[in-house]
Amino acid sequence: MASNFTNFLISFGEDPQQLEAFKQDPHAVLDAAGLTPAEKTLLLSGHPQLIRSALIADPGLKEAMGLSPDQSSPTTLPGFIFSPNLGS
Amino acid sequence: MTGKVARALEIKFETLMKPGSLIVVGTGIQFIGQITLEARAHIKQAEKVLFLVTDPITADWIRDINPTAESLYPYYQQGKARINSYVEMIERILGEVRKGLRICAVFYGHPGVFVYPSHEAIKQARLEGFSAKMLPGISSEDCLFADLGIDPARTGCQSFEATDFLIHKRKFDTGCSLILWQIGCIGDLTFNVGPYDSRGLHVLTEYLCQYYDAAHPAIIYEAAEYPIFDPTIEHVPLAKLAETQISPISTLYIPPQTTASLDYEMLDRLGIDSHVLASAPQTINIPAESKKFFDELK
Repeated sequence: MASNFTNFLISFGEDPQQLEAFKQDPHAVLDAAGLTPAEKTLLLSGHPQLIRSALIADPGLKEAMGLSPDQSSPTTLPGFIFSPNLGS
Repeated sequence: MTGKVARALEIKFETLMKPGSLIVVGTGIQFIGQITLEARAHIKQAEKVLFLVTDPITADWIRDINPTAESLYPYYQQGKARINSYVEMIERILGEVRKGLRICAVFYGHPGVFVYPSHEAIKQARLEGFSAKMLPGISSEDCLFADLGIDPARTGCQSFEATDFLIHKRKFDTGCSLILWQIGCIGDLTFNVGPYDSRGLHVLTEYLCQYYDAAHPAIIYEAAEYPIFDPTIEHVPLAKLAETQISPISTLYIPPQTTASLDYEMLDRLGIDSHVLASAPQTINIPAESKKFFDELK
């Protein structure tokens, strides 16, 4: 389910000026967004993997990905690991 | 056969096709912002959506605009050969198409780049008489061109999956850009939740150093997943590649080492004035940041 945090992340893809404002003054943009201190810390961390881990920790988002509650989630992006054509 | 006749036959054939169709779209690399308008429309209007994306927000967004959406991720399992997962995904997609539904299959990035199930599902659907089509999306390579300032037209561009490159000894030209994908999981054909063993990188490094100078500048690249972050662009001398920390999504870009010479006989044959070309600036397509980095090492 969408949350203030996920909606905020999505908004950057739809609003280049907001993204630019964030890069100029991240604290001001984060303060205006009504995020929790933990969420602000995540976005200021500079580590995409921390954001990913936090998102996967959300049961709703984990379920959206198709992961069961007890299933481990990848520590890194699994990506689409292409199997090389071994037939030729 | 004239174009009009061919098109009329095509339309007739489509109307005779079975109910049930497949449209395959991509989400781009950075979630949401890189999805095309037409991809979004197809996701929304599909009678059933099956998706495979790497980001939970994108997964949630897809399910939000089409509640029928279902993730294909469960077909991956730790240690399971990826090809087996792909076969199951294909069968899952086709199973829905065979019900006569208008299916949209959604994949991360460009749905036809480094995505085996998409092409195979379309191929099989068409063989069974269903309408099936792929729409282009933004791939990691597109992001690489934009982020590194590379125009593939300038010196040509060769692009290989890293394991494929090694085991098939792909022929390549050191006078062209070279992109090697998935350098973080060379030799590993399984799905792995944790980090992949990067020992294959030593093999790749050793192999590449047979063709390039040890100090030739290379770039390890990862497209930014979130718009608020910059892409990962790490400059490294080729011989030091194996010492660098990489991830399963790392990509290696190697700029040209040599400048291609002109074939004057071919110029004459094509009617190109060699003096025009001779007066044009000859530049090797090395990104500015990379050149600055290695200039400072001297």
